[in-house]
Amino acid sequence: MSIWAYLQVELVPFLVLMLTMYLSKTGIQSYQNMRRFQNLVLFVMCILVVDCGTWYTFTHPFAYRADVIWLINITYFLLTELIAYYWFLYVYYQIHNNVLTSEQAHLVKLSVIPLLIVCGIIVCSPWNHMVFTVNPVTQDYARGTFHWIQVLCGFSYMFLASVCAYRESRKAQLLDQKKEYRFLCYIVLLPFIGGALQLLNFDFVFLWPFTAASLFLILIDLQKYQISVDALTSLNNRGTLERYLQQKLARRESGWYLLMIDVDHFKLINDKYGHMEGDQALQTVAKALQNVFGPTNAFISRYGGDEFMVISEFASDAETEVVVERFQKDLNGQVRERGFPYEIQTSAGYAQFTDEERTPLAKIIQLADRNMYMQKKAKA
Amino acid sequence: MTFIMYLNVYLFPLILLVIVCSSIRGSVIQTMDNRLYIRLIWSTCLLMTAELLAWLMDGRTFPGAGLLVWGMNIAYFMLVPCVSLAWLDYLCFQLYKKTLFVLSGRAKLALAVPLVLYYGIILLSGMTHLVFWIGSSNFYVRGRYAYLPYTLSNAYMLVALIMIIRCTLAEFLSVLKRQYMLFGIITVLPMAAAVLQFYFDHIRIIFPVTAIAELMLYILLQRQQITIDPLTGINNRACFNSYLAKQMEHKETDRQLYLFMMDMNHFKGINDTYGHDVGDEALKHAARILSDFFHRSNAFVARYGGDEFCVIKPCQNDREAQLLAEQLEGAFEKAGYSEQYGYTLSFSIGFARLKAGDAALREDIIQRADEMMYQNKKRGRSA
Repeated sequence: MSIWAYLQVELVPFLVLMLTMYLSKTGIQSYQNMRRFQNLVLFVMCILVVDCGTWYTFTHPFAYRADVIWLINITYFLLTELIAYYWFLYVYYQIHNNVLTSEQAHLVKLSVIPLLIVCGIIVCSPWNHMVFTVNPVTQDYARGTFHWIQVLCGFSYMFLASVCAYRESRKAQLLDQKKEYRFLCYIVLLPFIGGALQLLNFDFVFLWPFTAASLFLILIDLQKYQISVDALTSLNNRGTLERYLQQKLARRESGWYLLMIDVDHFKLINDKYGHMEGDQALQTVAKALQNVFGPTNAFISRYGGDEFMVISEFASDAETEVVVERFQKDLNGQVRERGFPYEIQTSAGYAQFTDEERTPLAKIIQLADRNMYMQKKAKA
Repeated sequence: MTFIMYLNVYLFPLILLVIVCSSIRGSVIQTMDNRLYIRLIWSTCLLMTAELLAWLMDGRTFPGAGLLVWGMNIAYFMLVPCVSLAWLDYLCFQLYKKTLFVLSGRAKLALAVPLVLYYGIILLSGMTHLVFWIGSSNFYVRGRYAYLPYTLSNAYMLVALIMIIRCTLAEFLSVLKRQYMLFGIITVLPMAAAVLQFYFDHIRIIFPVTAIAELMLYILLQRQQITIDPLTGINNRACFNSYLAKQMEHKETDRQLYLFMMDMNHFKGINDTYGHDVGDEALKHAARILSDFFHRSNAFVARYGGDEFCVIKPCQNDREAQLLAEQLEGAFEKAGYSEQYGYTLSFSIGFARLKAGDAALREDIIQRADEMMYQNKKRGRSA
């Protein structure tokens, strides 16, 4: 393969990474974790360039070739380890929503130790010849006896990240969160497959292009998550709700309850205390909804304004009433805890979907809506 | 160029396209929009696969290999204009909400005739040797008119580009205008790649670049869903929040920015009297007046939620901001009357200065503008 051919193979992934970088910098939500992601993208861009350089030095004779080979390979291996480590960091922070407990923070600090050791070994390659060596006579690159150390180190970090993501995905309550974590867990397969293919045939150049592809897909997935989630409350938004309901109907599931919850006199809170307080009230309601309905595998969404909708499989009307009461209690507790100068009262209405009657969707929503307004009227 | 080389170049875009495509199919209810996009992606994937297979067979001499090489190359050349037609179809739907099939007979004919002629030439390549032929020991050879496929596909892309330019010029919502311009830029990419590849035969970039351009289209529309309010077509609240945060990060102090918050008066009345549909119409109407008013001024206009809108715009001082608010009220008086329903849109407006680089919280500024707005509203009601 000529250097031109090689350049061309790396060029397209490089362009995709540039696009990824641009998108992550102009995204509407600036996560702190985005920094780590951007570093990751930058490192992979660097390694694509270095990879081209490595190829050139392997196949072309020139002055100081041995020194250049030493230098370029050390850079290459260092970058490899850094990419694996940052991958781990990014995934770890992402699955914990950027907030770590002190124990987890400690763990992250400790996790840097293997990286430092392996990087030390790589930098000292000209003296210890462990990872690779350059033949002084022929000036050719050769693998060292401990070449596997750097492979193992990088592999372990990425594998560990996936294990953590998998564990979190089992714990996650919201459907979309579950999906996102599971995606983070499985996307690691792409670089692994690329690496494995490259090992099979030296002419394949797949490892870094495939890594670039996985980064691009991670970003797209993040955007998809943003589309499906309500920005204020982090609950599912209305579009997601509609898709979910359509799926449920298409699968002909029955027996589920549709629960509509509305904040009483929300406009008063908004007008009296301002929008910021109004937003906080909505966030508090969302939190209480997650506390109560989250563990039951329910679908929780913000329908719009101060209206929320929960879809779940309760055993009976009586059970639904009990859960709604529990929700209001939890909400009261939250309001007290945060010391709001007002109370948040909610009204709820529900309707059950039964397949036998083949109730159209609009009618169920209407029914739940009417029940809710009845409750509201009864209060007033 | 060997088969492995092609594999190295093509496997990356192929994998990206397939994964993106399957994620679209898995998560979204199939709309026409998605179906057209998926068709575009599949045609590109097929094309790349056909070319890969053509090169895999190239120069092989087992019995029947010659037939395979011919078949693969013909399939490849027949697919080339299909991708750009699918592109044209998809963009046509994005711009006009129409597919190519509902075009007038003459337009359809103009698109179909070159395609049919081209297919005739390709199918008869064995005799004419115009675009390509397969030489002895089954090697592919470029014909005298090898540029024909790429010219045809670029011609279709050019039609798409002209459509985009016309729509860009006709559109007045700045958000959509920007989106159309990006469509245009993305469409130029594969065209440029086709020209480059034709002159430098040893680089294979046209389809990888096409793949990237397709992904960019997807991202662009995804972005739009995140930042645009679907009802009014102006920026949504999430976009407003990030814009405000970015403006507050700026350290320069010579630019005075003002945040205007505005709340529609008697929106609940319109909603209750005429129903939600008319309420929605009123919101759209208001958004249009706002976009018109701030047209070509460097203002950021967004829907904050419900019947509230907000604008961020540089002003010299409080007096100028006050003046602007009054002008805006005037604009609503003039253009806010609905002949059909007899309501006149009016807004209560409040504003607050954004101190750049100041540690003042975003919340505080919104709160200040909010308070002023409510005072104005009260005054309006008592008057």
